[in-house]
Amino acid sequence: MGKFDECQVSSGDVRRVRDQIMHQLSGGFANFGHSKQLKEKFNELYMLFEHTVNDKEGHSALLIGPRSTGKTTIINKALEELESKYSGQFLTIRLNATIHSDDGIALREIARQLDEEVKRINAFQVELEYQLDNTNFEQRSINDTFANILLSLDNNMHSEQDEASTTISIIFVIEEFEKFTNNNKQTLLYNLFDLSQSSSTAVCVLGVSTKVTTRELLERRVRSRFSQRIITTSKSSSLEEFWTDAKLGLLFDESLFNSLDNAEYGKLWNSYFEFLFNECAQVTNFRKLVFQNYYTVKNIKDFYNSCMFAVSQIHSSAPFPSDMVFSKYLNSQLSNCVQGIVRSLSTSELLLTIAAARWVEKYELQAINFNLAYAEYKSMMKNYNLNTTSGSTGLDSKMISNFRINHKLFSSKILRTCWESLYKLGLLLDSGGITTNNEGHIITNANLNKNLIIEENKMVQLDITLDEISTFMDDHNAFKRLTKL
Amino acid sequence: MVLSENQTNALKTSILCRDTEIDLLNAFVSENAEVSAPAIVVHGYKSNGKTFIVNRFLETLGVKKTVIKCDECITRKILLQRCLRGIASDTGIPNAIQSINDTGRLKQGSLGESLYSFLTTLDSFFKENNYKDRHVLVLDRFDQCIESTDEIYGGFIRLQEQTKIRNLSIIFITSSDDPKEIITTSVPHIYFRSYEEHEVIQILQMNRLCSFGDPEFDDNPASEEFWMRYAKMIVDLYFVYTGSDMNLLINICFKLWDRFVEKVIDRTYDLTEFVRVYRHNSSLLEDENIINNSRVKTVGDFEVDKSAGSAGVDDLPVHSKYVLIASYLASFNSQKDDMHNFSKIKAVKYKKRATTSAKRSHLTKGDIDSRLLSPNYFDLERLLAILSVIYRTNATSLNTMDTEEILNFHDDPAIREEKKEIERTKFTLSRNTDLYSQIATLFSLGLISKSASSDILGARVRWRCNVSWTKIQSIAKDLQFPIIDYLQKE
Repeated sequence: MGKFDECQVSSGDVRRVRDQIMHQLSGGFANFGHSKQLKEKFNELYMLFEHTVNDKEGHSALLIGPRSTGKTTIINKALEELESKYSGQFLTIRLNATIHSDDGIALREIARQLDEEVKRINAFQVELEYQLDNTNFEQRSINDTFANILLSLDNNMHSEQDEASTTISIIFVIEEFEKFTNNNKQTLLYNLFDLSQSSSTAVCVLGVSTKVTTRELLERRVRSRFSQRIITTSKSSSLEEFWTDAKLGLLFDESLFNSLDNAEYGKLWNSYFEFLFNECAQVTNFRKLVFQNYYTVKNIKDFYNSCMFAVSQIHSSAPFPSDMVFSKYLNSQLSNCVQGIVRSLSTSELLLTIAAARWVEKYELQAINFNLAYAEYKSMMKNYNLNTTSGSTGLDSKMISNFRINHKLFSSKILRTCWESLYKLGLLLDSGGITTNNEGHIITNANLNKNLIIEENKMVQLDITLDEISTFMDDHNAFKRLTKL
Repeated sequence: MVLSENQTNALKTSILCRDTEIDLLNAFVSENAEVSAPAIVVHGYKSNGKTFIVNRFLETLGVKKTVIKCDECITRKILLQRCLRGIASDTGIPNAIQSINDTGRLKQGSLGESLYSFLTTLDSFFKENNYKDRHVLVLDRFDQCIESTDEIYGGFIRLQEQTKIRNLSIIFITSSDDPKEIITTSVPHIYFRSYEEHEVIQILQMNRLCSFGDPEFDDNPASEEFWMRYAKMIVDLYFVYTGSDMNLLINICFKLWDRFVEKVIDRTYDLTEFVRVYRHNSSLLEDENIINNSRVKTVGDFEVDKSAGSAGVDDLPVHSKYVLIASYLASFNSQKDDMHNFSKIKAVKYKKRATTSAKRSHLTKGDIDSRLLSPNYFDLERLLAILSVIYRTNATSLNTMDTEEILNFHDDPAIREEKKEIERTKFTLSRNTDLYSQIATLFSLGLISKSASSDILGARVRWRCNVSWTKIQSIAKDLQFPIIDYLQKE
């Protein structure tokens, strides 16, 4: 650790480094240019866009990959680069199916963004044929809006012959693409793909999705208009690869060294993580973190989340994040939500849960109501109180028999409240609400935890078994033996 | 800038047992939008200080914040509208609400119709006013909005991705697991674990919630000690019930305080004699009603209510009581056991007994006491049939042996007996009393309910008993009716 301890750093430098690194960690994939895999995908994507913008070709493609593999980052970067090179020659329309939930809304959004972009480009005094009598694309009626868009894209065809250089390409970026395939006609996708093939305006449609089956979800008519080009991003296939990619977000860019008072600090900073990962003699928390992430989720964003805390802690007297704090975020996380719920239960609620689980175990039925659980609770506690006293036999019995430790039996009125809070916490689910269909997908039509009043005899399902309760309970908990029938 | 060390330490001394959580908040949320996460989720079960700490933290940070209490919103639209108006008014821009209303109406027809219109309105509002201040939107109890918010969860998280707003970040405060929409989005989470018992005591002791309302006591240093012991006592007594739920504990503290210190205020006991005050109040503290939040009053809960009684059941006419009992039997017995329960034919009984006597190792559905389950619907005809059986065999007017009759030595006692027997077997209640109007009365009293079909004359209307076991038991006792014999049993 010698060289890292000796480094003298001004507080301004520390702040600059911290802000920069925190920015990298909280945003997308910083410095991804150094990642071989992403760079390749980026080039492919950039070429696609460039063909659309520069050569006025229509294109369509799907960008598929798991979450947090840098899909949006490379799109943003590609668009940024295009903007600097071909400013004013293209428009970007971005849609996100989680926000633009149906075709109508998506269409309005397209119109709105077109209006905005056209205004923006007009400001650059680029001549445009788009403006139809100075009206906006967006109209009151959705049909008018759509007709407007299609018409103006077609109109462009005529103007093109005169001055080809001023025509403007349009890039559609559609995130969560698979959600647009849900409606059976897929009108929007059909029209967009159709535009990308037939319209004289160069249109590029890029669908972004996490589902590998996205192409198969397209309807036949739509699929035939799609270029079949698929770009995939994937998670790292080896630990080394994962580490080289993950490291990038933590590194301080070399071009920024000059902004520091002490450029040496920047260099040391960059070597510090390599040191923590490889060179340090003992096993570091940081290395554990990388390993754990790689072997469980392989999610670089999650990894960054756990690093943010450590990086935020640096200050001028300790300019490098201490290895100790790297595990803090992950340790404070809840690994299992049912466990978290059980931990948060009060004793009376826990006993009621145990009683319910015992009943379910005894009768091998799935559904239970409060009355049954309470009846089981009563008999369980009666037994428990008997056993606690009779358990002490022999010599002690005379001494202890004076102290009869009885656990209080709550009345049903009190436990009703507990039952309600179990329901609200989500330990009890509406009966019949969760089923699996024949493909094995889980269907929930239960309006979970929304029903604020739960009747005494309403049948519900318990989301935990007796065995699970017993594993979640501490060994010294006196009630643990109740979890054995 | 994130909080300085002094500020965090000050926060940590005023808020106990939450050091890690404050540190994590400090790491993810800061004054500079560039370096803080666009959205974070604060979660933890039950009330354990999530909202309080987030609010205190943001106050210390000194950024503009908008807190929306989502559980007060009935629909998503109201939630989104509140967010828009809240953000607008918290920006400090003059006429902001007017401006955001206009933007919303102009563009979308109405404010916050969908997440899409929410985002565009917000985006254009920020742009028009050139609003660049750091702003944090706190969506408190986001999962408890009455309409499901799972669908807009993902959209909120992508707010910065989809719009040009960079200075607004969102803190979700939830008390349940993440819905599947956001589970893969890698949003930073801060988990608030539940407090341990000693932590709860510490926290309550530090915050003096109640005062004597009398400077003589309140200024006395002994009052501090008194509160400490009071808080400890409350936790010791009720922790079994409340767990780490701070809200419940604080409520109990308030609820008991006035009655607990009565004797101190009228100077019967001194401030220092906590144990004597405690002994004096022991009956008060053991009362279960302290922790019973049910608004349903039952007999004996309060002196005043005694006269009212259990309204409407005890003073019913005898026939109505029989109808009620019959409806209870019809609801809680299964129809296929009717022969066994109500018929005189012995063969059925023996047959039944033969099948049930076979030993089974495992408990089954049949072993469940039907009284604990919800009442089943039955046909009106079944009710009438059961009613005539139980009335005939149990009604006092029909079954009393007429002593005078025996003394009158008739010539043909056998024939008379036979006649009587025939009369008994042919007996139905409906001939004598207007049963239907009685059933209608019971229905209007809410003691019997019917299935949701609105057409009363429809053939498929089915009925159900609405009365609890305890109530039925008292009615049966009143009529000396052995109801337990009729309930199916093994």
